[in-house]
Amino acid sequence: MVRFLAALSVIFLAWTTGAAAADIPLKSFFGKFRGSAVAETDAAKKLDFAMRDLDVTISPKGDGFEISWTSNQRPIPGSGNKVSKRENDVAFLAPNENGVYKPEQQGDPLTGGNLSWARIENRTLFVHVLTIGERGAYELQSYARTLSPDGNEMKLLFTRYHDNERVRQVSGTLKRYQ
Amino acid sequence: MKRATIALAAIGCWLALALPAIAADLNIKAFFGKFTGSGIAQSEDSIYFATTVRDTDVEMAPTPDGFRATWTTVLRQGGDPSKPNVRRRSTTMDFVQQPQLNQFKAKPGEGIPPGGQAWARINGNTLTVYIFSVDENGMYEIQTYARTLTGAGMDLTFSRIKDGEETRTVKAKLSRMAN
Repeated sequence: MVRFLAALSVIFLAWTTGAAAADIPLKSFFGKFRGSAVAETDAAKKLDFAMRDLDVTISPKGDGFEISWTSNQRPIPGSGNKVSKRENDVAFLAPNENGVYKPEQQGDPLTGGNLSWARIENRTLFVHVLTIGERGAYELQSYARTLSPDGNEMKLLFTRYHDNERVRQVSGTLKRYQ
Repeated sequence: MKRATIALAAIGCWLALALPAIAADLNIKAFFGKFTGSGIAQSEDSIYFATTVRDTDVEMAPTPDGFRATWTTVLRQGGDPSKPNVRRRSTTMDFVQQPQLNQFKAKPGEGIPPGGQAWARINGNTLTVYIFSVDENGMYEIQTYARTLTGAGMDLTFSRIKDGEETRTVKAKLSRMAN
């Protein structure tokens, strides 16, 4: 009976550990990706959709990495608006023992700075940025970038929270071009 | 001329209607005092199990550079339904006035997880306390206590968000106690 239970435990352990996918290494994300996404904005309970063209570059920096990305929002046809371009760049140092990356100098959101960190879970690189606005409300931006098994495609899910409310979500697919 | 007069009158009416709607932020002094009441907590687990009732009270008092908030929660959950287990949890935090009139920064100490930070702001009739932290695995948690002054006392809405998921909310009504 004891042998049977022991065998059962081994089978259970092998099954559960096999099911828990390992986190892929940081270097899997290095490269340049380009694609498009749909932005869904919930401003004052009025849903708004917009197309965006995205470009992201992830490169090694010391034992950490640097990530820069641009987002070009296409104008709604007939609106007369121009393309709105946003650029961001963040560098993260070597991770701690639990795989959490932080920038060299962490900002203080209470004095207008950004508090940011990153981590990898399974095939997804998460980057979070917390800021606090002039009125004291917080804004949290979360970028989840998931690589396909062959590493040539990246799914992006961006979410912006304003004071516990999800006010924007952007989802899209990018292709590796370098 | 007549058109201009009508237009001016219309603008005047619009301003009269719109301005009272833009409520000014209360002064922190309005929140000083002791409030007591009870509320209902809902957590992820409570989809399958009963929501829990909790008694809660909060006391806010001035300090030389800001204010001190002490809140106590009495939870009744688990054990015999006719005689549930009782747990009492109390937290005190000191907040320092920031250059912006409606904002306060918490002093390091009790109630703030290691590496975390806490602040408070007044928006209209509501004083909101935020406690933000990132654990050693990079998972974040943000707790917000929104306390809104009402004619009868105070409405409290507590919310806990873990990595984008709302894991607990508490809604409570409190009455102001006589000094």
